[in-house]
Amino acid sequence: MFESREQPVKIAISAMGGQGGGVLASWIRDLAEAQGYLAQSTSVPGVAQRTGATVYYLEIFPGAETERVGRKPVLGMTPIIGDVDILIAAELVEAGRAVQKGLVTPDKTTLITTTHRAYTVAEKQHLGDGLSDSTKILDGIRQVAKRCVAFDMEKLANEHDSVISSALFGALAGAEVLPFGKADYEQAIRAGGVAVETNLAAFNAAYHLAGQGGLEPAVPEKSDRLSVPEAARTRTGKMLLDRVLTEFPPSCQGMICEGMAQLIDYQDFRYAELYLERLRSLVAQEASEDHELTREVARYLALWMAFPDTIRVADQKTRSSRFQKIRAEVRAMDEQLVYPVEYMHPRIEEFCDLLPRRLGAFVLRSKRLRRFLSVFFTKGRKIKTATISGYCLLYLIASLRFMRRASYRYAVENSAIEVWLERIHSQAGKNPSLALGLAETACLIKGYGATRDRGRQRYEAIMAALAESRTRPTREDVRRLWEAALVGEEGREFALALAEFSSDASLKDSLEDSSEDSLEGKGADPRV
Amino acid sequence: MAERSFKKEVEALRRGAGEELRCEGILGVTKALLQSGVAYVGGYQGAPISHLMDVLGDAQDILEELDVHFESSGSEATAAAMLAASVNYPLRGAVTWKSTAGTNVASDALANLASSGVTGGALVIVGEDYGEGSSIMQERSHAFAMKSQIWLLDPRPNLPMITDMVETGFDLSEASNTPVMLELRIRACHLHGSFVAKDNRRPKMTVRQAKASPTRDTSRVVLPPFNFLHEKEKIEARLPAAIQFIKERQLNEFFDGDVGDIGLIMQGGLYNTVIRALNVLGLADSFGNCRLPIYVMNVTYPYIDEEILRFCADKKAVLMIEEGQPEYIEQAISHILRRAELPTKLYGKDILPIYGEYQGDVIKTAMEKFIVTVAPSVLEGLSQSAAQKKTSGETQVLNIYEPAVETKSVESIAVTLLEGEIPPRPAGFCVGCPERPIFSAVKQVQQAIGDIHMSCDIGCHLFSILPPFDLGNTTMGYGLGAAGGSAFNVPSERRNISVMGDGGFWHNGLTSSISNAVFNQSDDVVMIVDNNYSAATGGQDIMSSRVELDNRSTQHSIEKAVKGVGVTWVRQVDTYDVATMKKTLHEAMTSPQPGPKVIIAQNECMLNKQRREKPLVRDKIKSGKRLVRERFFVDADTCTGDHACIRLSGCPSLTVKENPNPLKSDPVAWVDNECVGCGLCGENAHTAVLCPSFARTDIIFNPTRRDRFIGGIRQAVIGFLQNRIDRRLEKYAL
Repeated sequence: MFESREQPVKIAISAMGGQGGGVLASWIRDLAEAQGYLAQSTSVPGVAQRTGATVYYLEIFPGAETERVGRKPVLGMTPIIGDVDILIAAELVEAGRAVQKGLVTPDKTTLITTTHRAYTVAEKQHLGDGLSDSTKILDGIRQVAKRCVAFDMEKLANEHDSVISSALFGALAGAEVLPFGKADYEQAIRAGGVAVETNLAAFNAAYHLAGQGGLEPAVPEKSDRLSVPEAARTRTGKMLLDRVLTEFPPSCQGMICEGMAQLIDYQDFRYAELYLERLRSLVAQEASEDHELTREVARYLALWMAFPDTIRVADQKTRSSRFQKIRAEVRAMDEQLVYPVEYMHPRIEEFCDLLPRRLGAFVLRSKRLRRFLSVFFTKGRKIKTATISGYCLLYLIASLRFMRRASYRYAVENSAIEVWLERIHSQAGKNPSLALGLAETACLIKGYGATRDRGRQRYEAIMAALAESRTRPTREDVRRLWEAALVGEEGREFALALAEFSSDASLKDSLEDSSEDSLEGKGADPRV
Repeated sequence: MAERSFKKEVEALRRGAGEELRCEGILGVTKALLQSGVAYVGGYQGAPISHLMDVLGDAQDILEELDVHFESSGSEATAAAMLAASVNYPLRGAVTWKSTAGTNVASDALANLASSGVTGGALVIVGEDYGEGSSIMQERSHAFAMKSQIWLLDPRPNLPMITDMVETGFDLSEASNTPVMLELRIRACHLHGSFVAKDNRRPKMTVRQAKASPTRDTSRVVLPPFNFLHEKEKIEARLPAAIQFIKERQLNEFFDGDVGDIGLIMQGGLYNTVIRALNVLGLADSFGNCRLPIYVMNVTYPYIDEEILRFCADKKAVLMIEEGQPEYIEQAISHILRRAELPTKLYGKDILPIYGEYQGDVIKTAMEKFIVTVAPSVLEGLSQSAAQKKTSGETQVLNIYEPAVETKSVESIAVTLLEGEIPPRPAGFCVGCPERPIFSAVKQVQQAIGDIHMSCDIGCHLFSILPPFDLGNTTMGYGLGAAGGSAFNVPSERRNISVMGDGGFWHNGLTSSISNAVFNQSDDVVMIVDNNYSAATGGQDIMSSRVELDNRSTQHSIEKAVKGVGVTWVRQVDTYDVATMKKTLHEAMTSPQPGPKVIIAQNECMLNKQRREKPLVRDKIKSGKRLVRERFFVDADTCTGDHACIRLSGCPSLTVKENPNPLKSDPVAWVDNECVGCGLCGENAHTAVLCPSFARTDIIFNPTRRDRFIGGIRQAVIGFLQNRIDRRLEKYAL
């Protein structure tokens, strides 16, 4: 009773609202209709789409078959699992979402996806690194697709001053999955009549890339092995470099060189020497061949020693390289003038940081003085760094570098660093795993003002919990704690993790005390 | 100005008989209204029928040529009440809204209209916002049709059918003196297809003519004793008339199949999805030829008992495919079969899911289940034929890349590799949205004074409930923000805050929320978000829009309105001014003045603003005029990777990238090129004392000679100092 064996081509577009998925759908539709096909597209409009994930769906059907049968076909409204010929994704996680829904299947689906990411709020709002793993997603979606054309189409579109729809359309053409020629596609863009030239440029670039296979190598994993510079640029630098090469194992040299370079940039050679001294006493203690502890301490020690005080901020904001970076990032043309306006909000604390140690401590302790001085620090300031007055102000602050070692802030940070190193030293031989954990916990020490205070509080809380623990905590135990400290600003997850750690620790304690016959006590009230 | 302009598309509305129209469902419906000789049209915007209102708005000229009166109704209740014109006069009228949200609002007027009955055809086009992409409670319009006795059309989703049903709907309405609802699902509203046009028809009687010679019929008024007569009339006259009309015009369809003893009954709107699912199973071809007999209910209320019995009579089992719950139709059919003592077994929600949208997969799975249960032999040998079909489809697919890795099953990949890597992406505030800073301020105030109970409303501002703001407890309906907080009108340490948009305010909020708060001496805080448009529904103009329009009266002040109903504490604040907003909120939370504290947070919807300004800016730059463009920038070197700025903003443009410092692994914040320079980043950096990484960059396009001169001097001095720095850096290097 069937009149036809012909099937429509089924195309789904997985995108975010506002990305132009509708434009792409209309191009495909126009293209198909111009080639004598019947085209039907559906979408989900409305507020539900504002920047959120959405799916456009198209079916196209050959007009010749329609004429032969003498009726119009019945075309579907939504994609069906296992029945999508082409899945186009305008963002990598949206490709992953489509795969999760089952819209990409190995026997059928050609997947055309960009590899760029538009991060979700869930990822961005993390206190540290909360991003999804693009490599994993790309690996996964490649494995389920019958064919996969994947490259950074957002970047390509930007390079041609166009939008991602053009690049996706080009990739679709280049993949040659639809029975249409390149000129037909171009005609659809021309018929659209908007930004035709730039759209065609991006279309063509994507067309060629897709035609060559269009597969981007996966992003290499970030390694903790940094390379050692081939030669030093200065004499003192050479001396330091030679010291690193003779006194430290190869596995640490790259990291230490990077740390040293940053500290020279931050302060001076003497400061970098202090850094080396501190690490040297540690490396002697470390038994492991890989020297992971020294490497990790080298990382966090350099970051901590280069604490961002007002001097550092002013230093970074006055460099010529920064002005070039800004121009590049805002894509300023040569003839355009660019004036950065810095949003700074120095508090009385930042002011006291700069004062000599005793004076700074005195002001911060004195309620009266604080109140008096606070008047000058209630408002945020906007400083125009590309005007003479604004630049000179920051230049002057940056030049206070010479008195940094005498400052209140230096004293505070330096003694905290020493306590931290002391703790690591004390565990390096006894419990190397814990020593690594202690080293990594320093990742909580970062930022300015409230952020730094919060990180510091959580750091101290972890240190206190570890000190109280009578068990043998491992790196994993400590990692769970600092990872929890990075989850929410309010600290609910952190409090929970701390409580869990403490009860776990005392539970393990009681288990170790009692006979080892069973684990039934697990989950029981640890106080018992 | 609405988000999308249909100025170009509406020209298609002038097409005459025999011409083919390729367009979206919404435009097709508009054309069908004109072909039906409609005399007046109204409605209230909201997805998925916002564009219908936009099309009508943009088609004002054409409507006037045809003497069709069009109003952007104040609310769905207004729109429904507008249909009163069809009670006494043979005027065809149509209104539209989002359902069930709008039908809820309209139900007072709708019920009265249905009781009175109509002389001229009255058509309500409801966009059923159910399932994927819906932003409202999941309910059915079907219940409204049943309770008020309004006929419900649910046509097969293709343009010829939908447009035809518009015209037929008017005929049905007139033949049975009953209002008719035409239900369109989300994807049907935005379905792009084609149909053959007919000539537009001027209304037989225009509204002007009716107004000039008024007639009245007291028996049409809902008042005793007529209200009792209306109910009798509904059952004894209107229902039989409708049934006869539906049968005679064969609005419901029967499709034959060679597997004669089982069958499918479905709502028309699901037909395409069912056919596609059967097609995948190898039980139907692309032209709808299906091995199972089908009864399509293009009219889902009333039920035509005779047709249902005829379809079921020779079948041992039928499956009712009915979307949404409760399963009204299935219950009715069960009742009809029982009365007739027909032994046909009825399946439905025992096989299909009870709730949720019926997308292709759901129906495909259910269909397999149904057939395996009642006639397993039908599926025999099909897996093979389905496979053949797949290979034949593949001929046009060329190979470029074959994955070298071993192909695993879809499920295992999804479970292992993608697990935890696909974060949710709900809708949220757009780039530079003026509503975001309001919640940055509220969040900061909350951090200072403790958690606040917040009663929300309908509109984009409801995105405040999501991360990163996590603000808001409930939403009770359009304009009901403050009403939803009214129970908390008791003395307490901390006042609660209600939020309402300008759209909601004019829709219902002024009376239900503000007047109520004044009357009941509420002491709480009401925030009215005034962004110049009904932004959530697509940027339609409203009473307080700043724009001057030819055929609407705008620029009515919200401030005056609330003062007019007796509010004494009112402040108007620029939404982007977070510092002032924080101060004002603190003041509102603590002010000793009795009565509601109303804060009007004012700034224009960024989507609309950009749409208006972008072309102007482009022209200005092109013509060589001086122009300063602002956008934000984050210093990657000073950024700490803590993302406190993101937790106070959530702007899509404020995102993250890899840390340039090889010692650090936390991604740093950066502002992408979509930034519109709204200024919130800087405001937050200041008010929340975040970090010194934020800078605004003022980019001067086409600088004047003076600009260049001053720039030169500055560059000379700064360059000199930067050279000194560079020299030092050369000395101090590894």
